[in-house]
Amino acid sequence: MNGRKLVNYAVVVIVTAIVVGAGTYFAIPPKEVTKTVTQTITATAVVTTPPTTPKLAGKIVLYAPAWGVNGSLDLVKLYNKERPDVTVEVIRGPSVWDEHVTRNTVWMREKYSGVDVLYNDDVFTLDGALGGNWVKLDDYFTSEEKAMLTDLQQHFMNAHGGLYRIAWGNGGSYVYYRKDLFAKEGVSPPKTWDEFIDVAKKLTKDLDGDGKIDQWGYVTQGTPGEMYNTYNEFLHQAGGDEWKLAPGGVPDPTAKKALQFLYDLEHTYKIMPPGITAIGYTESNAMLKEGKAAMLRGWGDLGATIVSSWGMGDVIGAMNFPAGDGGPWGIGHSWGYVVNAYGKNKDLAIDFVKFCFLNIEAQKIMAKAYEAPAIKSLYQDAAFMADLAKSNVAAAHFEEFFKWRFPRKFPAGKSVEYHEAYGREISRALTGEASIDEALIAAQKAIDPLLP
Amino acid sequence: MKKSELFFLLIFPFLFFIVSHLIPLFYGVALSFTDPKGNFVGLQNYYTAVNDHRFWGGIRFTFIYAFSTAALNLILGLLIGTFINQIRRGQGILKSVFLIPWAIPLTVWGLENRIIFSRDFGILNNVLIDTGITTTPLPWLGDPSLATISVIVSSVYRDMWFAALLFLVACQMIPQDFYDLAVIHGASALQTFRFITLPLLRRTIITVGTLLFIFAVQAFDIPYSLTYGGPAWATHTTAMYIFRRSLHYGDYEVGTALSSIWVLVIFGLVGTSFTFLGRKTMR
Repeated sequence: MNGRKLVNYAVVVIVTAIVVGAGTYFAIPPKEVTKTVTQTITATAVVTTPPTTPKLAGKIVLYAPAWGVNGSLDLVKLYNKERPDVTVEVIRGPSVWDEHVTRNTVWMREKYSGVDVLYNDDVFTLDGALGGNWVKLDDYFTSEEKAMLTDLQQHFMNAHGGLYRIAWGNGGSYVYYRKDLFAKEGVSPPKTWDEFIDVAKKLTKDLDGDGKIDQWGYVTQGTPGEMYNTYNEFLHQAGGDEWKLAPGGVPDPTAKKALQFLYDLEHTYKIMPPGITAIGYTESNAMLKEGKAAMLRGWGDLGATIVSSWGMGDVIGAMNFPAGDGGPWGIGHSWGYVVNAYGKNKDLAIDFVKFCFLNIEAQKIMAKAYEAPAIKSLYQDAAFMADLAKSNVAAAHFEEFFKWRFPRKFPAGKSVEYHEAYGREISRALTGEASIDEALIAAQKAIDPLLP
Repeated sequence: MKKSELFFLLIFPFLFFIVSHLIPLFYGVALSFTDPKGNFVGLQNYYTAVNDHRFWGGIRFTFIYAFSTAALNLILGLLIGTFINQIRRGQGILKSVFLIPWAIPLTVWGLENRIIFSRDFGILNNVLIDTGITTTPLPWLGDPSLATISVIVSSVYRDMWFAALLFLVACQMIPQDFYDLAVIHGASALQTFRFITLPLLRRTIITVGTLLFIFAVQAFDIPYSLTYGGPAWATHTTAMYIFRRSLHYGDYEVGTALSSIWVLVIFGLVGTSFTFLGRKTMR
């Protein structure tokens, strides 16, 4: 056999192998490997360090978007004191929400097994709970342990259909304000919508007399997802229901009032910068920091950033939202760990999240890294709350704020599309593409197919 | 080379093409006829797709964007390319400088431009106010019309240099004798451009214009990183909406139905363009 023929034969063999291999790969579905849980771990009902458990060893993979990494690393350090033989690999995820969405959606859809624990918010906890992506954790905790959670967390458990997430803490949206600018103007934090407009008008100023505004009374975020949040807050303050914007094509009077109010802030009273729909976190935060805005809507983590990164804890304060007819409502939300039902190391992952829930030091780390405690007892811990108040300007008001924080009504399985489509349709009223009525009707039309 | 040898030589690229292109394509098309559980649902996903106003809005913006950017890139690229062709010194440096914006990754470009177009912190508004062109900062990314302009300008400012480079190369293929004769006959610069440069660049203009249009129709990166498709849906391209529907909403089935429709539109455009291109350039 000459060399050329040999090469030809070799090529035939390789090609056949590729074709057969590819055919087999696509034709035969991969076998699902199931593991039997053999480990029983008992836990006490009181929040304390967990009881001694049988020695566990192995590795779990934990995914967190950038904003959940530092807290996760601290938790892993603490966990490893208890479980030195368990390796927790922390994967640093993207620092942009949109990319976190893409990654989560694809993983959930493909039942990805490469991650055991994920740090997720209300949107994905709900969608994953409905889709069977996360392990239902109810059976791993006693009812007394679950009763330790705050009312907000109890609500989430009901909304999710059980305990699917070990929350890092209670979170919410608040109004941050420049104490120095308020003092200079001689005004106090507004309590009602009317007061809010009045104060914001006084704080909207052309400082150098060149005819343009240098300091705005209020700024929020108007990018699609945040427009949903921003409007939703006003809607709840007005006493409305986020699923009833224009039922049957007829704009709801409360929904209309709330959107009109938001519209007026930008276009009628001109106390909010024009083009709000292009303003995101980076820009709005910078406006407060630089004194270009006197009040800012923001999440609780900003309260910590103001202290730790900006060093402006004495200049910036936090207050509740102004009240409409319905009350001073802001959003209540939460991030925390979910356990991947398709993960390869479910037992270890469950052990890890149990530790995070039942260990009081872990609870403190989570509350501090996130915002406010997820368990009631920590609110009674005066020393801890005082310590928290030093690192977050919103912390001193948490007890009062959390009386007025509503959880958003995401439709299960459709949360991402729901809040994005909602925000974008509402935005059209602010950009002038649609009237208030048209925007509400369009938003209702967009969300109707997604609602249960 | 023997036929059998040629067969073996070509089988690998062929298999590679099949595996990397056709299998995903057919898989995607097949997916568009199923529900999330894999049940056959006929044309239901296509029905949902064509009744989605966001998809049509995306197509509308995509065509506005594609026509505008292709036309502006073509005109500006042609003018810059022919102008640079007149310069005798430093052409090499200019050619390298041209490629700098074009070499910057699209998403980075989009993010950089967000800083430029920012209402309160942007360089553009500062310049406009300092020069007295406007008295108040304009919401470049917060107003639908201004956002559309911003996306187009951002894209053109990046790509026109590449078009200019192509035209510069084409200009250099025109024999110098033609220009020398024009000078002898007393033709003005404008006349030289009108009667010598333009007719001789006709094929290049058509080819570059067609390619720019086809590239622009697939736009994703710049609008995504600059505006996320906002405000509202104002700068949402078709590709962005397909991405969002599939990978954000997890709706692969409707997403692939949208993709299939869009692939057919693009195939139609490419086919028509190249038929047109073939006819025009053959003349």
